[in-house]
Amino acid sequence: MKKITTIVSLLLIANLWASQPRKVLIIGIDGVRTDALQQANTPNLDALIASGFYTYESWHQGITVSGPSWSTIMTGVDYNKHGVTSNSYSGSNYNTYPYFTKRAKDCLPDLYQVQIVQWAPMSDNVYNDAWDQKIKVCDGCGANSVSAAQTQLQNPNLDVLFVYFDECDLTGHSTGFSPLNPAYINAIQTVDGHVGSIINSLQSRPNFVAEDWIILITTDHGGIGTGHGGNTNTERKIWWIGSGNNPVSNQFTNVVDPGSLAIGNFNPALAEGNPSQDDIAVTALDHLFRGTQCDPFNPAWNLDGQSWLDSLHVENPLGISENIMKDATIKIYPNPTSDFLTVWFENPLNTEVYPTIYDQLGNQVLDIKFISVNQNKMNIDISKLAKGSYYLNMNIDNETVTRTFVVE
Amino acid sequence: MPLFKLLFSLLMVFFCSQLVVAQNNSIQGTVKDSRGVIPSAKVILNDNSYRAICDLDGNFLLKNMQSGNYTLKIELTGYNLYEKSFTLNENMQLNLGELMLSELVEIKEVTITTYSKTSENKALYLVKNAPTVLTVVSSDIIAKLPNKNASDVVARVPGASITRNKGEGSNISLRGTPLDWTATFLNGDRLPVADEENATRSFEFEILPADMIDYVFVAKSSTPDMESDQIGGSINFLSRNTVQGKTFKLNLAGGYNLLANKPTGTLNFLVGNLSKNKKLSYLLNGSAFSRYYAADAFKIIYGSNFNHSLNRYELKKYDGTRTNISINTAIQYKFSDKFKIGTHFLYSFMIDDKFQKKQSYNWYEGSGQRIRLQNIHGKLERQLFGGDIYSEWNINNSLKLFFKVASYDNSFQYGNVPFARKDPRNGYMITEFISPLMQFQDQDYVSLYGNQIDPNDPNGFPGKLIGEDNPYGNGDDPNNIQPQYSTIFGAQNLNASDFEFYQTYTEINQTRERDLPVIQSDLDYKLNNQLKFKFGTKVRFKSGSRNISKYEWFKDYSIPGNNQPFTLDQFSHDPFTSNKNGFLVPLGSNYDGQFFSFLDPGILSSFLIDSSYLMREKEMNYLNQEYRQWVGSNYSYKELQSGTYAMANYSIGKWNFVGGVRLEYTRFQQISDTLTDELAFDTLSGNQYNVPKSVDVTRDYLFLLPSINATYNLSESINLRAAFCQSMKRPNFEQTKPGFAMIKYNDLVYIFGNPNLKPTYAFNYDLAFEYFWPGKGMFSVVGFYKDVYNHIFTVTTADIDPASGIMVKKYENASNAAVFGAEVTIIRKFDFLPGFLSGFGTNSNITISDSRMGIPGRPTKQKMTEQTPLIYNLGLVYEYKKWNARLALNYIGKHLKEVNLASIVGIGLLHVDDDFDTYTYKSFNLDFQISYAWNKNGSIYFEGMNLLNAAQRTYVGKEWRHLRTEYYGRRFQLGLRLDL
Repeated sequence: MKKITTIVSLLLIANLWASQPRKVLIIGIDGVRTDALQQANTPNLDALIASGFYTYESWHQGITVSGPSWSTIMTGVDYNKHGVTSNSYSGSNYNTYPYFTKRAKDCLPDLYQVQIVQWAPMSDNVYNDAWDQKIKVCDGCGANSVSAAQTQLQNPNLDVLFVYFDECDLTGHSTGFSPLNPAYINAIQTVDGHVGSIINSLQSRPNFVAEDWIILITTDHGGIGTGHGGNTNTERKIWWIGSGNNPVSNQFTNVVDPGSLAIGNFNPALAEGNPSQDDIAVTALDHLFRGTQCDPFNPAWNLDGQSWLDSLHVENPLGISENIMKDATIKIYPNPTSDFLTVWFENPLNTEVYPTIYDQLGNQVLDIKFISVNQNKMNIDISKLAKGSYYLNMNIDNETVTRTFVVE
Repeated sequence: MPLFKLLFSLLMVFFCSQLVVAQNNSIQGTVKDSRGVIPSAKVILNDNSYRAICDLDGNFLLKNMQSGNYTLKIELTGYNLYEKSFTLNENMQLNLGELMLSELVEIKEVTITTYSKTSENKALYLVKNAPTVLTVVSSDIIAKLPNKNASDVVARVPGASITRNKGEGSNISLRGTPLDWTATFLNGDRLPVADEENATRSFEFEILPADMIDYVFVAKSSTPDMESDQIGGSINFLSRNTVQGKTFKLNLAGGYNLLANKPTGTLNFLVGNLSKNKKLSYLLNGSAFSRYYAADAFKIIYGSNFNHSLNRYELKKYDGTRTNISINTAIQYKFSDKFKIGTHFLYSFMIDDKFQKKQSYNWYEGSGQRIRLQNIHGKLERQLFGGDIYSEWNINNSLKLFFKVASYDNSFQYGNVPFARKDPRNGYMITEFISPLMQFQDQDYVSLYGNQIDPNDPNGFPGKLIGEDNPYGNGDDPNNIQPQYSTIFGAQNLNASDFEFYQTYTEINQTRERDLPVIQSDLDYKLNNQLKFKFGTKVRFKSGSRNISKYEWFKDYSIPGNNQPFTLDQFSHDPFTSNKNGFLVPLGSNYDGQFFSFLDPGILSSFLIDSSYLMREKEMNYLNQEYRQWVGSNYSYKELQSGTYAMANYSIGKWNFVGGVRLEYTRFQQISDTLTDELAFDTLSGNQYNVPKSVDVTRDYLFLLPSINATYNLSESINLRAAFCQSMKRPNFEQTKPGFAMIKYNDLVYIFGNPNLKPTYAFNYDLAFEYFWPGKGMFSVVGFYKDVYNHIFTVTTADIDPASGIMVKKYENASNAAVFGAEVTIIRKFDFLPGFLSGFGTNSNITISDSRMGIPGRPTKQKMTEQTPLIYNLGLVYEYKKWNARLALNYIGKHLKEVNLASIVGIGLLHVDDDFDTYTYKSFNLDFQISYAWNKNGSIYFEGMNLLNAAQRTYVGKEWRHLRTEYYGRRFQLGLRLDL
C-alpha cells in the first residue's frame, strides 16, 4: 500500500509538473564587476541572492568581451566552439552551436521566446537563434528595455524571455569600472531598479502561481580602469544568480578558478565546481525540457555547460508557488567569506543597528555603528579577522538577532 | 536714450541742411595713373583751403566753394607733383575729367619695383586718408602671392592671425580675438557659411582664391554703415570690378610639395575691356588651382576627467589634392556720369580629394584593447556662388543714392565616394580593420587621480601616463609615444593577416546656407565740403540647414559560408608610410617597424562595392539603436537681419569725425529634433524606439549700436585717432540649436546648443598714432580696449554620456570679459642704405593683448577663450630694380581654447585650475618669395612656404601634453607670371 501510495503520489506530482508551464527569465547585465555589485545598494538583486542560488566567484573561462561572452551564455559552449572571439562576431558558428533557444524550439516548437537587447550587434550578428521576437531598444536605455519586457510579460504564452541591460558597461567605459566610482555604482543601482520592475511584472502575471519560472541573471565580464577584454581577476571574476519559484538558498564561495581558454590554462575538471557562463543555457534547457522527451544534455550538441537547475530551486509538487522572497528577513552572505560580509534585510531599515562580531571564545572583535536609511543591506569589512568561525549579533527593534559565519 | 537723441539731432541736421545751400558750384575729377585709378588720393586746392579724398574709383567732388582762381595739387609719393589751375564761378559745375599722374621714377625703364611700389603706396594712401583705423592690402601685393586663397593675403595685416587647414589659410581673426568676432565681407556683404565641421558665421576661405581679389580693407573700428558681427574688426574683400582698357593677364605657376612628393599647378587669367565710349566695362577673371598636400599628425584622446591617462593614440598620415575653380565677372555700364549700374557674379568650387590613414591604439574600448587601422577617403566639395546687381545714382552734387541686391549660396557636401554622385550613402568613408584583442603592457596602476598607489591595491586604475603625468617617472616622451603590446594570446608581431575587416561607414554631411536676398540702399548727402551724411538700410534673409548622419556596413556573418572575416592580406595593401620621407620627422619620433599595412587607397570604394553582397547595411534613422546620438545633428533655420543706420562725417580744420548709430535687428527660427519618452514599436525590424519630435524655437533681439571715430591730422605725416563703437556678434546656428545635442563623431563629443544664448556685445575703444614717411612707409601704434558682455564659450561637463562614452559639451555666455592690448606696425623702405641695399625694407607688426574672463565656479578670472595674447608678423622685403623678394615670419601665440567645467554632483567642479583646459600651441610660419621681372609683362618667381615646418598643435593644460599635432611640410614652387 505504501508503495502504491508513493507511486500514485509520484504520478500525481508528475501530472502536476506537466500541467505547470515551465518558463525561463534570463537577465543579462553587461559589465558588472563583482566587487562593485557587492558595494552597490541593489535591493532587488540582493533579494534574489539572499534567498537563492548565487556566487560572487563565477570565473570567466573565455574572452572578457561582450560578443564572445554573451555567445557563451546563450549557446552553452565556449568561444572555441561558437567561434565568436570579438565584437565583430566574425568566425561565428551558430549553425553548429546555436543559442539554446534554437535547441529548445527544435524540440518544443510551441515555445514562445523573446529577446530584448540594447546593444544591436548581439541581435544583428546572431543567426539560427529561433527567437520568436528579437526586440532592439536604444542603447543604454534601460527604462525602454523594462517597458518592452513588461509588454512581453503580459503575454500568457511567453515561455522564454531574455532581457539585456547595457548601462553599467557603458558607464564603466566612460568613467571607470570600479567600486570607487560613484557613477558606475549608480548605474548598477539603476539597473537593479530595472530588475525589480521586471520581477514585479513577472509576479504580476495573471497566471503566475500556476507557472514554474526560473530566473537566471549574470554578467558577461568585469572591467578594469575604463576597459576590459584582458585576463585580470577584476575582469574575470563575475557573478551568477539563479532563482525562481521556490528558490533554494545556495551559495558558492571560494570557487576554485578553473583557468581560462584565453589564458590557456583552462582545467575542465575544475570547471564543474564553477557556476559559469556556459551553464546558463544548459540550466535553461534543463528546466524547459524536464518532463518532456527532450534531452538537454544531448551528447551530439557537445555542450560545455552544466545544469544547476536542481541546486537553485525546488519543483513544487503541489503546484503552489510561493513568493520568491520567502523566508528572508535577515540574511548574511557570502558565508564563508574572506573580505566582507553582507547583511541583508528584507525590509529596508530606518533605524540604527549595532552589529557586533564575537569570536568563538565570546570576545568582541568588531563593533560597527551603522546608520541605515532605506537600505536593504550593509557590508561589514571582515578582512582583518583571522580565519575561523564568528558570531554576528545585531539588535534590531529591541530584538537580538544572531548569525554565524566563517572567515576563510 | 542719449542714442536716440543723437539720432534725432543727426536727422535734424539733415533736414535743416536743405535750407542753407549757398553757392551752387562744384568741381569733380578722377585721379589716375598709367595703369588705372588711384584711390584715396588727397586733392588740395589753394594750399589746403579745400581738400578732398578720392573714393576707391579715384573720384573726388568738391562743391559750394567760393568763386575765384584755384590751383589744384595732388602730391603723391612715387608720382610727379600734379598741378592744375582753373577758375571757378558761381553756379559752375566744373568737371576736370581725368587727372593723369605720371610716375616719378624713370618711366622709360619701367621696372617691377615701381610697379609694385606705387600700388603699395596706393594702399597706404587709403590708410592715411581713411576716417577710421584701417589697413589696406592692394591687388598688386596679392598678385605676388600665387597659389593662395584670400585669407593668406591678410596674414600680414597688423593683428591678423590665420588659422590654417592643411597648410592653407582658413579663417582670419583680428587682434587675436575669437575667430567669429571678425566679420569678413565680399564687396561689402557678409557671405553665407557652410563648412564641413564648424558651424560658424565666419567665412572659410579655402574656396576663395586670392586672384579674385582687388583690394582688402581691414577695419578695426567700425562705422555705422558696416554690417555688425564685428567685435574684433572687419575685413572687406573687394573683387575685381572694372578695367581701364583692354586687359589680359595670365599667370601660370608650377610647384612641388616636399611632404606629398607631388607637383602643384596654378592658372589664373583676367580678361577685360572698356568700350570705346567708355560706358561699358567688363571683366572675366578665372582661376584654376590644383595642389597636392600631405600632413603627418598624431592625436591623443585622454580617457579620464580625473587623470591624463591615454585612451587612444592615433598616428595619422594625410594626403590629398585640392582643386579650385573660380570664375568672377564684373560688368559695369555708365549711362552717364550720374548714373551707373553694374553686377558682380562669382562662382567658386573646390574639391578636396582627401585620403587619410589612421593607425590608432586603443587602451580603453568597449570591445577590448585594440589596434585599429582606418583607411579614410572623402571628396569634400564646397561650392560658393552668387553676386549682386547695383546702381549708383548721383542725383545731384549733394545727393547720391546707392542700391544693391545681392544673393550668395554656400554649400558643403561629400562627393562621389564610394558610390556614384547623388547616392545618399556617400560621405566621408572610413574603412576599418581591427587587430585581435590586445593587452597593452605599458599601463601603470595609479589611483583615480593618477597618483602612485600600493602595487597590491586592487582598486588601482591601469593607465598609460606619459611625460610628467606618470607618477612613477617612467612615462613615454610625449613626442615619441611607444605603445607596448601583445595580443591576449601573447603574440607580439602582427601582420596583415591578423587584421580583420570590422566596418565601413560614411559620415554624411550636407550643409548649405543661402542669403536670398540681401537688399541694401544707401543715401549719401553732402551738405557741404565739411559735413556729409549717410543713411541706409540693409535687410538680409538667410536660410540654411545642416544634415549630419552616418551609414554603416558590416560583414554579414549570417550568410551561409560567410562566417570568416575579411583579413587585410586578402586585398591589395600598402604600408602606412613610405620610409622615404619618414613620419613626424621634426619630432624625432621613431615609429620604424611599428607601422602596419593599410588597404590600398585606390581600392577603397571598390572594396566596399564588390563586397557589398556580403555586407549588412545600417542606416542612421529613428530605428537605429544609436539614433539618440544623432537625432540632434540635423537642423534648419531662417534668419532675418535688418540693419538701419544714420551717420555723419564732419571735417573741421585738422579734425575729422565719423559717427552715428546703427540699429540691428535679428529674428531667427530654428528647428532641430529630439527624442520624446513616447515609445513605439516597429514590428518589421523588431525595433522599439523613442518617437522623435521637432523642436522649433524663434528668438529675436535688437541692438542700437553707436560709434564715433575721430581723426586729428596733426601734420601731413601724423594722424591721431580715437574711436569708440559698440558692436555685437550673433551666436552661430550650432550654438543656438534647439533639440538634442549635435554629435562630433570623430572627436567623441556631443555638443548641446542653447537657444537662449545671448548675442555677445562689446564696447570698443581705440586710440591710434600713425606716422607716414612719404612714399616710404608708415609707423603706427594702436591701443585698444574691449569691454565684452556675453562672450560665448564652450564648456565641458562631466556628464559623459553613459550610453555612448561621448563627452558632453555645451555653450554658455560668460558674464563679463575684457580684452585690451596694443598693436605696432612698421612699414618702411630702407632707402637710407646705399646702393642695392636700399632695396631692403620691412613690413612688420606685433599685437600684444591680454584678457580677463570670469568663469563660473573658478576662483580666479582667467584669460578669455580664443583670445591670442601675442601675434606678430616680421617681414623683410627687398625691392630693387627687377628683383623683388620677401621673407615673412608669422607668429601666433598660445591661447586658451576651451574650458573644462566638468562637475560631479556633490563634488562640484573637478578642475578649478586649467590643467584640463584645452589650449592652442604657439605656431610659427615662415614663407619666402623671390621674383625677377624681365619686363613689365613678365616675371618668374620662386617661393618656399612653411619653411620652418613648425607644428600646428593643441594641448591640454601643459604645453607638452599634446592633443593634436600636425606637420604639413614645406612647399616650394616655381612660377611664371605674364601680364599681356
